[in-house]
Amino acid sequence: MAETLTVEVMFGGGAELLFNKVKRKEITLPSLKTFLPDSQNLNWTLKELLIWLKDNLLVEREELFLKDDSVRPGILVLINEEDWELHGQLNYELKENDKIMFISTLHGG
Amino acid sequence: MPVPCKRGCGNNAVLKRPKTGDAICKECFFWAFETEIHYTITKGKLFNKGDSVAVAASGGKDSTVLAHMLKTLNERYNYGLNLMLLSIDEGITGYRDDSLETVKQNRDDYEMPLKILSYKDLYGWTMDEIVAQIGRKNNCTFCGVFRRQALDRGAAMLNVKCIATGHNADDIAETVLMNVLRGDIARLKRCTAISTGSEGTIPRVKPLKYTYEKEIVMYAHYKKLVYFSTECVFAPNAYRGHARALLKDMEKIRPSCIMDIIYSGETMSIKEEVSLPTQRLCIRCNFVSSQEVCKACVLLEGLNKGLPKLGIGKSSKVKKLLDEYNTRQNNLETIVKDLEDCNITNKKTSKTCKSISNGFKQKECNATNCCTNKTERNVEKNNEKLQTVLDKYSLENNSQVRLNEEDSDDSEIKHQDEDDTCSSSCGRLGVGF
Amino acid sequence: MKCKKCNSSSALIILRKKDLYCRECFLANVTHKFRSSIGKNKILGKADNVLICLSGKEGSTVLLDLINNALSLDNHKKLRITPIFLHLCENYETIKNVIEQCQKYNYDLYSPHISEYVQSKSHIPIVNSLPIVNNELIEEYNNMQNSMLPTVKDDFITNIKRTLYIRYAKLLNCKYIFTGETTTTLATKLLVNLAIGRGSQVQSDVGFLDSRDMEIKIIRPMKDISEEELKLYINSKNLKVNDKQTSKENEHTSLQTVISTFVSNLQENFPSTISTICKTADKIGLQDECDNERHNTCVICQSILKPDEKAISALDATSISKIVSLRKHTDSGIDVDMEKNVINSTIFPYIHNRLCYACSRNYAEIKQSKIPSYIIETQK
Repeated sequence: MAETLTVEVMFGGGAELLFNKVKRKEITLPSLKTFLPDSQNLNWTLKELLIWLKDNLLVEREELFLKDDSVRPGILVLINEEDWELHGQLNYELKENDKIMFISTLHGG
Repeated sequence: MPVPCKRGCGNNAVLKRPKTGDAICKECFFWAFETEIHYTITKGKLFNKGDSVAVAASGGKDSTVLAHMLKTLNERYNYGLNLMLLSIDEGITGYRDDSLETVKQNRDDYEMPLKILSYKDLYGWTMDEIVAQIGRKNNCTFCGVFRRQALDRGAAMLNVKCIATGHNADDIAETVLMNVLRGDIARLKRCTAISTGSEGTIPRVKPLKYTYEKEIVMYAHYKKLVYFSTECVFAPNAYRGHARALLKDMEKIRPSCIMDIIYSGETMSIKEEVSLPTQRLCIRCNFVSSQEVCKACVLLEGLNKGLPKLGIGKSSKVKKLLDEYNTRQNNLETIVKDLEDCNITNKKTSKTCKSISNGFKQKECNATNCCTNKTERNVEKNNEKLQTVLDKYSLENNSQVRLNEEDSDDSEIKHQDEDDTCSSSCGRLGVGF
Repeated sequence: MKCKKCNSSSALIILRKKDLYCRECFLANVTHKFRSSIGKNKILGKADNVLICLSGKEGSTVLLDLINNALSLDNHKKLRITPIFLHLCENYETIKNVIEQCQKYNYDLYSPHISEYVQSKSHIPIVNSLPIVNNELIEEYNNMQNSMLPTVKDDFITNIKRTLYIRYAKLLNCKYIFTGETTTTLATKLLVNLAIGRGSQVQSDVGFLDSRDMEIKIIRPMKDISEEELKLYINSKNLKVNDKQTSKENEHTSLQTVISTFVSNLQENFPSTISTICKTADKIGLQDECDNERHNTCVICQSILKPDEKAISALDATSISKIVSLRKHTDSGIDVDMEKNVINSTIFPYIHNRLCYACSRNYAEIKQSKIPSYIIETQK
C-alpha cells in the first residue's frame, strides 16, 4: 500500500533563496520504497528528505545547500523547532506533520 | 526522544550549545545567552556608565541581535548607556536599500535614534557608480576601506564614546585564519582584541566576540527578531569564502575549535623584530591611517581622476610611480600656478577635495596636503599612457606577491594600510579589524 | 627549454608550474636550502651527536639522502656532525624498510616501539633489529589511542613522538635532533596549532628550532623544502620511498585531515599559499621570550604554562558558558570567579598547573584513566 507522509519544510536566513524564495511549504512524500527503492531504511529519515529536496525543490546551486550527504556546514536544521543535533541529525525518522526548518547562517548581514 | 535541559529545569532541551556541548531548553538558553554576553561586557570593561554608544547596524542577524541585546542588558543591569544605531548606505541597489528598511524596523522596535550615512554624501560616489567605473574585480576593496572610515565619521558626528560592532566568534576565528593565509601579521595581532582603537580614534568594541553564530541565529529565530539575510549583490570575497568553509568544516568535527582559534589569537605573540605600522592621522582627511595619506583618500583620488587602480595592490609602489611621473611632467611654472590656483579657489576646490571633506571636518586647503589639481591636468592629458603603466605595474605586483619570490620590498608589505580588501565579510558593517 | 639557473642544459624539472630547472641545478637548490637552514641558524657545534629521526616517509627519505651527501663531502662544506638514526616503530612493515634504507648508506638504525611512551623509562635498543615487543605495553598503548577522538589522537601522537625523540636523544647522548618536516607539513601544522588552541606555541612547533627542552634542541632542516620539491628530488635520484603516505582514512574525521586537504587544495589555486603561511609563522614568537623567569611547563607538550593576563579570554568565556549551562536559573546573578575554579576542574583539568590550554582541552576529552599515570603525576 502506497503510504504517503506529509511534512512541512521551511527555509530561512537566506536558505530560501536557494528554493525559489519559498519560505514554507507543505510537501507530501511518497512511500520511501517508491522514491528510493534501494534505500536501506524502512522509513523516511532526514537523509532521504535531503535527497528529495534536492530533486524536487532546490533550484539554485546544489553545493550551497548540500555537502556530501548532509547539509552544508553552516546551515542549521530544526526539527519541530528543536536543534537537529539533539535528534540524531540525518538519522532522524520523519513523522507525520513534522516541521523541518533549514536556516542558513552563511549569508552576510 | 526528548532530551531534558541540562540545567535541570524540567523542560525539554531545544538546542545543543556548540561552545560546551550542553543541551538546554529555550528559556534557559535565553538566560544563558544573555548572561554570557553581560559577562563579556562587564569583565571586558567594554563600556562606562553614561557612555553614548553607536551600534553599527546593517540589518543583518548579528547587528540585529546586538542591538536587541544591548537594549535588553542596558535595562536589566542598568548600564546607563545612551544607545543609537549607525548605518552606512553604500549605495548598492537591491541590497543595502532593502537592508536599511530592516534597520529602520530596528529603530522603531528598540526605540533608538538612527543615523544613516551614505557613501554618496561622504565620498561623492555610490558603490553602484564605483562598480560601473572599476568593474567587479576590486570593488570590495573600495567598499571595505570606505565603510571603515564612514563608521568613524558617523561616530564622530554622533559624538559617541565607542562603536559596538556585531562581530561574532565565528567571524573572529575566520579572520584569524584569513590573516594567516594572507600573511597579514599586523591584522593578525589586532583581530582578536575585544576592543580596538588607538589614541585619537573612536574605539570599537565587540560584545559578541565569544558568541557563536549558531546561537545568534537560534536566538534571533526563537525571539522572532526580524533580520535581513541576502548576500551582497557584488561578488563576495572568494578568499574569505575559503576560510569560512574551512572553519565550518572544522566546527562540525570539533565545535570548540572556534573558541580555540580565538584563544590562539589572543595568546599568540608577534616577534619583536617584526615592525608593525604605526597609526597616525591622514594628512588629508585627518582620520586614522598607517600612512601619510590614508587608503580612502588614495582610492578616492584614483576614482576622481579616472585611475581606479590607484591604491589597489601595493599602494606605495603605485604612488611612487605616480609621483615620479608627476615630477617629470610638472615644471616649476605649473607648480607655482597651481599654488595660486589653489589659494584663489579655496572655496571651490577640486572635486576630490570637496568630497573628502564634504559634510565633515573641513580641512584647510593648501598646496602640500590637499588639492590634487596640481597633477590633474597632466594626468588627464596622459591618462591613457599612465593607465597602461599602472595596469602593467599592478599586474606585476600581483604576480610577485602571489609567487612569493624573494621580495626586496618586504617592508612595504608590512606597511601596507590596514584597510585593503573587504576586511569584514562583505556587507557586514563593522570593519573593526 | 632552458634552465632558469644555468641557462644552458635542457630543463627537465618544472616547479610551481612555471620555474624550469635542469636536474643538477634543481638538486643543488634543494641541497642549498637544506644546508643554508642549518648554516644560517648557527647553533650546531662541530662533531655533535645528532639524532636523526626517520619516519620512512618522503621527508625522511630525502633527509637521509641529504645528510649522507653532506657527510660524504670532503671540502669545507662537509657537514661535521655524528648522526645517530632513530625510527619509532608503529608497524613492522615500515620498520623493515627503514632498516634496509639505512643499510644502503651503511648506517645503523635504532628502532624502539612507540608504546614505550606508556612507561616512564626506556633503554637503548639493539641496532638494526625489530623492537622487542612487550604485549602489555602495546595493549595499554592501543587502549589509550582508542579512547581518543581522531583530532586529539593525532595531536597526542605528535607529542608522544616528540617526548620519545627527546628521551632517546638523552639516552644516546645527543644534544640535537633533526626531523624531516617540510614547508608543506609545517604550513598545515601552523593551522592545526591555531585550531587546537596552540597559538602561543607556534614558534616551537613550526619554526626551525624547538627549544622547549632544556637540554635537547629539535631542529627542522627541511623547513624550506616543499612537498613538490621532495617528490621531484625522489624521482630524479630514484630513491625508494618505503612507507606509502598513510592514506587519509576519512577526510572529515579530524581537524588535521580537514586542514591538510584544505592546504593542498588552496595551494593548487593560489600557488603562494604555503610560503605565505610559513612566512607568517616566522613572525610569530614565543610568549615569554623576553622574560627570563623559568616557568612551569606542560607535562605533555613542554610548553610554558602561564595564566592569561587579559581581562577576559576565550578560556574565561568557555568557563562562564559552562557555568550558565549547568546552573539552575536564578536571576540573582552568579559569582563567576568562585564557580570558575570548580568548572575548570572538569572542562579544563590541570590548566596552567600541569597542562597547557590545548593539552588540558584534550585531556578533558580522553577517558582519563587511559593516560599513563606517570605523566600527570610527575613531580615538579
